[in-house]
Amino acid sequence: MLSRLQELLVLALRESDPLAFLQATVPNEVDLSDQERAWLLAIDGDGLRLTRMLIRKLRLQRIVRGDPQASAFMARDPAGFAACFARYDRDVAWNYVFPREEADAFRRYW
Amino acid sequence: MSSPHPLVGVALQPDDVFFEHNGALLEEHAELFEVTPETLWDSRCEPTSGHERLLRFCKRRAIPVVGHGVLFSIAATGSPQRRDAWLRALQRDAAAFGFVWLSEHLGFADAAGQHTAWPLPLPMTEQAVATTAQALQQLRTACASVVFEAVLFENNADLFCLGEPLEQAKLYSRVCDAADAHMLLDLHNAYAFCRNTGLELERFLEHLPWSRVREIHLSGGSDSDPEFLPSGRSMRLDSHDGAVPEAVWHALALALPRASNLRAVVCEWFPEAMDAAAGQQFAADFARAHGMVASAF
Repeated sequence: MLSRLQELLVLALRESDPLAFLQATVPNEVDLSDQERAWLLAIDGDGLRLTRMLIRKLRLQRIVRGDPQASAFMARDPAGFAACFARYDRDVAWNYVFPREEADAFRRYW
Repeated sequence: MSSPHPLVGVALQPDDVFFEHNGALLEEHAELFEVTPETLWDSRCEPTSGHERLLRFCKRRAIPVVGHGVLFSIAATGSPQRRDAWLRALQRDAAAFGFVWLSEHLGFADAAGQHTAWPLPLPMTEQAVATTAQALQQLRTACASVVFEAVLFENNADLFCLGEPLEQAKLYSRVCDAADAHMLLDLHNAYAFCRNTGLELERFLEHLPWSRVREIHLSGGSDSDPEFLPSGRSMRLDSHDGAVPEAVWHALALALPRASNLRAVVCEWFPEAMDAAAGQQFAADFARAHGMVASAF
C-alpha cells in the first residue's frame, strides 16, 4: 500500500540510521505488498542518509531565515546552536513548511 | 503564448542579491520568468514583500510568466492539512501573475503527519500514478480562471530509488497519460539521478516521454562532501550553485531535437550562492542556452 510505504520512508528518515530502521521494520509490515517490501529493503543506504541530512539542513535554514535572533545565535555560538538544533530536531516533529513557523517553534523550544 | 522557438527564461528570485548581480539578464535578455509562489508567502499563504516585488517587476517587464512549485506534495496519499489554503493561494497567484502554465515537483513531502520539505521518490505503481494525477487535476482546476495551458511535473535529483531507476521514465509517461499532463525535464536533476543510481544518462533520456516535455530546467549543482557519509561516497546534489556541467550541456544538445513540443528553457541559480562572479557565470550559461535553442529551432 503506497500510503504505508510513504509513512515508513518518512519515519525512517526521522531516525539517525534510516536503513537500520527499514531493515528492522519492513519485514513485519502487513500493509505492504511483497514488491513494496523488496523495494524498501533494497534502498541505497547512502542515498537515504544523505536525504535525511538534506531535510535537516533545510529545517535549519528555515529557522535561520525565519528569525534574526536564531541567526544571531548561530553566528555567536555555532557549537551551541548546533547542539540546540540537534535536540530540537530530535524532539519536535517535522511539522512546519514556512520559515517563520519553524523559527517560532524553535524559539519556543530553545 | 506563441513564439517561433522555445523561450529562454530565468527562475526569478525576490532577493536583493539576485537582482543586484543579474541586472542585464533580468531587464533585457530573459524572454520568460518562472516564479515559485510558495517562496513568496507567509505561513498563512498570504503574500509577503517579496511577492509584491516580483509581481511589480513581472508586470513592468511584461514577458510570459510560469509558476513552479516544490512542496504541494503531489504524490502524497494523505492530503496535507495546508492543501486547501495552498490551492486558494495558487489560484490567486495564477491570476495575479498570469501563469501560462504551472509545474510541480513529482514526489511526496508529507506522510506520517510530518513534512519533509523535500519531495521523496515514488515507486512505479498504478497507485502512485493515480494519486499524482488527482493532485495535478486539483492544480489545473485552481488555475482554470486564467489563460492557462497546462500542468507539468518535474523529475527530481533523487538520492535513492524505489525499484529499477529506469522504471522512473515509465512512471513519467504513465503520469502524463493519466493526468493529461506535461513534463518539466530538469536536465541537471536527470544527470544527478543517473549518477546517484548508476544509470547511464543517455539511456535514461532515451526512455522519456519527449512529446510531453514542455519545459527544460538548466542549472549547476555540486558533489556532496565525502565526509558526509560513513562510506566516504560522494553523491550529486541539486544545489543550483554553479555552472551548468558539460554533461548537462550534452544532454541539452540531445534533448532539443527530441522535444518537439518544447516551449521554454529556464535557467536556475539559488540566491544563497549568488555574487558578482556567479552572476557572470549565470549570464554566460543563459547565453549558451539561448544560442543552442536558436540553432535547434
